[in-house]
Amino acid sequence: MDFETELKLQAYLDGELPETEAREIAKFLAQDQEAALLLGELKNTRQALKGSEIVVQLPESREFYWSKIEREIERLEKPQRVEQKRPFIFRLQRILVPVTGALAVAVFLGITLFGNSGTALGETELATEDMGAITFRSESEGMTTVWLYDRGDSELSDEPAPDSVEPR
Amino acid sequence: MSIRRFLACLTALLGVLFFNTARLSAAESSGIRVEAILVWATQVAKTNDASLKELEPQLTRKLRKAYKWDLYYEVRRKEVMVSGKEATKIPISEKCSLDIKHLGEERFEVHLTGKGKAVSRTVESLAHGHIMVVAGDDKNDTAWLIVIRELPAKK
Repeated sequence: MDFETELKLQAYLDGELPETEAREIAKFLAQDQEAALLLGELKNTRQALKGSEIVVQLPESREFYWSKIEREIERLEKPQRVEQKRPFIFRLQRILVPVTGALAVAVFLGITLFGNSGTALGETELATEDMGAITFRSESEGMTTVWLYDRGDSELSDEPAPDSVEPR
Repeated sequence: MSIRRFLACLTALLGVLFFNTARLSAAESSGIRVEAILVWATQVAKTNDASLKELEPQLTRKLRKAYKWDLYYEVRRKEVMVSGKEATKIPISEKCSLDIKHLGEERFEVHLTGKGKAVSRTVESLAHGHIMVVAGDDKNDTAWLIVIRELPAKK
């Protein structure tokens, strides 16, 4: 008995053969003792397997389980996107953007921190403790006054005092 | 805002900054015209003293708004070129002088010296016609004022 006939016997047992072919196999079984023995053996084997077959319970519905597999197969079969070669300016942009930003921050900080020599506008420092100064700054009048006191004009300037410029 | 537009704006901003710095550096190298006027403020008219002349009306109006005196006489006027390299000395009187240094942009450092001793140091901006007045009381309820201002560049 050839392999093809053995397969047909298995299909016959499983009920997978068309009606006409099944009838032919039934006739053949009645005539061939070896085939009848094989069929009996196959029947016994199936009977034995029925009791020991492990039934796997799916965590989700059968349809959903298979649809997941289908989606995964579709995903793997999709052609991988080919990385396009970008123009030079776009590649340069990756470097230029952070560098330009850092430069702008550095310029701003430089102007802010070092541009004013550390002294606020209108700020007055006195060299001697004997003198005081009142500073008044008016943006609207466009004028800053530094008024020094406790030392008279005569000590700072030799300009004519009021008495000396009185009409003679 | 797209990255390209952002970069364009940033480049323009940096360009303006560098241009401005270059312009200021050029002005600084040639010096900036600064004027110092010694003024005497009083309530009593001094018409007979030839050494005193009435202060220009515009400046007088400005001073009248700020101080109590009505009359302002110009005693001395000095014009100098001030640079950022070293301080420029302006003799105000025999005993009093100013040292002015340009710190950059429109900022000036003004040192007042009296009788050979340092008196005060002030940093001020003289931008857009802003003036600085260093002043003190004088005898008989009068006052002395030193008006410092930037003059427009000569063409």
